[in-house]
Amino acid sequence: MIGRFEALVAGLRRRYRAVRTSRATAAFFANPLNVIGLVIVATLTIAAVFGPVIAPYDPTSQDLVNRLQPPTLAHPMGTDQLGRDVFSRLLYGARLSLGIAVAVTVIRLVLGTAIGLLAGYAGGLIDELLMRLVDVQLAFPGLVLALVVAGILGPSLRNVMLALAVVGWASYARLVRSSVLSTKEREFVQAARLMGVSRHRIAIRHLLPNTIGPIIVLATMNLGTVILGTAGLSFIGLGAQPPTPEWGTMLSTGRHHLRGAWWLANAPGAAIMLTVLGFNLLGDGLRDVLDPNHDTPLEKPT
Amino acid sequence: MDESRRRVLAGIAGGGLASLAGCATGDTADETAFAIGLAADPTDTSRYDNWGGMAPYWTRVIEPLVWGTDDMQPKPWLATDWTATDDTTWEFELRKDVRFHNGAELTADDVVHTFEENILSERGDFVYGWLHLEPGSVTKRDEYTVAFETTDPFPGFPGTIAHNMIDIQPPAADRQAGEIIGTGPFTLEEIRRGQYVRVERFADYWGGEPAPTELTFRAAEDETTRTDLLESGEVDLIYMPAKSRLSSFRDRDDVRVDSQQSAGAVSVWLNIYREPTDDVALRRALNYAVSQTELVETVLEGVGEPARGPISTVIDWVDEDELPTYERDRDAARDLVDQSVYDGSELTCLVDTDMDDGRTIGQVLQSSFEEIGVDVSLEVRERAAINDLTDRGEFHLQIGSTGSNSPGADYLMWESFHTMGVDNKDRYEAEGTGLYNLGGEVDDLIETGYQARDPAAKRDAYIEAQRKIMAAAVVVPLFYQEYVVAADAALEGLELPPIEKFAEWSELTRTA
Repeated sequence: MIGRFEALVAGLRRRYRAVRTSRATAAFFANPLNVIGLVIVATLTIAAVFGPVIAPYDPTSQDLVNRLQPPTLAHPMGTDQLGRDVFSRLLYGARLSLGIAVAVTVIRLVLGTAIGLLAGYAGGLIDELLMRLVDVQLAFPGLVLALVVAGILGPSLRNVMLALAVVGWASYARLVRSSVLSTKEREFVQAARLMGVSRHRIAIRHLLPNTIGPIIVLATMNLGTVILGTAGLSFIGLGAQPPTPEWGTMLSTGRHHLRGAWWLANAPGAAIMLTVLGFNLLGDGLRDVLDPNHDTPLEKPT
Repeated sequence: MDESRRRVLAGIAGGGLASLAGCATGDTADETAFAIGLAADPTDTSRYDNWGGMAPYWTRVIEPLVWGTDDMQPKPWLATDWTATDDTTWEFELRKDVRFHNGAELTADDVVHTFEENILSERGDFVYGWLHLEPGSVTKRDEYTVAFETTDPFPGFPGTIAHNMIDIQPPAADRQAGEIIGTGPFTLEEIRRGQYVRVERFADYWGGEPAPTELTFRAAEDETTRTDLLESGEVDLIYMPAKSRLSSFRDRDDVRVDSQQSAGAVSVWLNIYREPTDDVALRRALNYAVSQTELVETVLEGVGEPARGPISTVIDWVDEDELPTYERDRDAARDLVDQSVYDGSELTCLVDTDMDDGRTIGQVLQSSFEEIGVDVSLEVRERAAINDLTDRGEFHLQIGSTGSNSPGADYLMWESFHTMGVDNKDRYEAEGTGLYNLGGEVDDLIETGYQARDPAAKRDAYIEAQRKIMAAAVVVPLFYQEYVVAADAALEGLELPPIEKFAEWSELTRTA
């Protein structure tokens, strides 16, 4: 038992060392913009995970006497129109925003990948049918369609998640399909087929791993757009219901106080902007190192 | 060649300067023209299609027979007098020498045409119940006398038709096509959809020539945009500026801020036929949980009056001193919650998406109820979705309001609290319940008030009904609504009636 555990630890160490010393990691860290993106995303993740521990106040606790207080030591980002601590609400909002972004992206990814894999590998009529379905989905502007879906289902965060999930899977399907189409003609796949490996196993063990890189890049980029979409739908009242500390809702409330209490709109606005920027920078960095066609320079950009 | 080029350039420069000078003098010449920013789009064809897309409110192009006084009483307008000749017949004497904008004189034929053709035929069944009139019930007695035969005794008839929508127009007018011919102090000149309505002074107005030469009513539904329009000088006056900027306006010398209590009141309405809000102990507990004063002074920025009843005190048959009071007392509230059937389950509270400050008020209430151990979830919905839920009785609380655009406000009691009122009737007929109707004695009192011709008798009956409604805690009163007007400090002659849509602009001037 102990021997097995030691072997596992040794294996992990080996893998860590390999990653740390790899060319891809070096290339990633050579670009300061990638590092900035990683730091922002890491900070957001820490805030989301430990938010309730770090937050100095209950995000829904009202103090009407101390409403609209500017930033102070006690309230680093001031208080809102109901006297709630904006910093605490922002931290709780990070958990919500990130949670929704991850959940929506996972749903899109799983759905899109499954459809793309099936279309690309099966080909023929199935491919035609599925790709026309993708075309139909891509023909609608994503956010407008999400708006319609959220409007029909009624305002709630769960419905916003559903609305955003059902409109964004097509790009994954198309990406995976094109990758599968090129991979399935390669020799190692043909060899596997000749050896009698089942179609299911070929798809899962040989085709799917070759699509992972672009999918990770797309998913990372998507996290930012989902956060924007969630905030947008909440901003117009289709998302979080009060008193949920969601960034879009906070921004919507804060806009009425832009002149007198600038922190109300600017705090969630900056959080949304930084988060989307972070995911975009990280996505760009990952694309640079994961894209096999992209020759990444090791030296820092001048 | 050089000389001529210089001359051309000098000419262009001179022309430009002259144009600028012309603009400047144009501003000066417009001292009697005013722009007004409204919180509702005055060109909304979905609401004002009967007036060709011009809001009948505010614009003062058209006029009704009866107007409203500052103490919410009917006031002679196009009709100079009215008499009930029997229980169901009203005779109205028309003002003489009133001219329409096309030069024709107002006569009884125009009134009969308006009611029979425009109001009773075009606007559908709801008008019959509202005005207690049916087609064929309006007849000409002589050139200046019109008789109205109501479907049942209706003492509130004169006050009810004191409404901007019950306007008089001649047969020559083509309302649907936007050819609006009224008798008002201003004539309709231009409608730009989604933007503004422009009217001009009517020199032959029966009430005397109005002071403004031109009024432009701008659509500015977003309060921040509306407030910015005033700050930038694009409009001279706005209704309901952003609350967050009220205090800074009040400190400024170049802006005047006026407010007036309206005929509206906001309350939490409790579904008394659904568990656990069918328990009067819980309903009283909710009343004891709320501080109306705190609500008004904080989140409403002082706009509104803390309420003790469900109907605004500007209406003459409301006297809040006669009503039971529920000062905030959390201990008493918690005791009542313990005595009630409430088992800790989550109550739903409906909030209309379009309600001003609805979300904020809802959150304050949610927190207040949580303090006494009652868990409430807010459901912010579109009006249609809210109507659907209330029609099925699937809610516990609703933040809602009462209000009237005419001095005849009897319907507030009837429609909200009588078993056969519009809020309760369907559920009563389907299931023998309702929403806010206590039934029995309260129904009798509302009927007595509704039918009373003597103001004192009406008042006694309605106050007793309200007392019983508040004793049974059917609502949690929040505040009586006020409307705020912010304007260029140079504006004078602005009057603020309790029904804001009765605003008169005839005396509006600008000091130097």
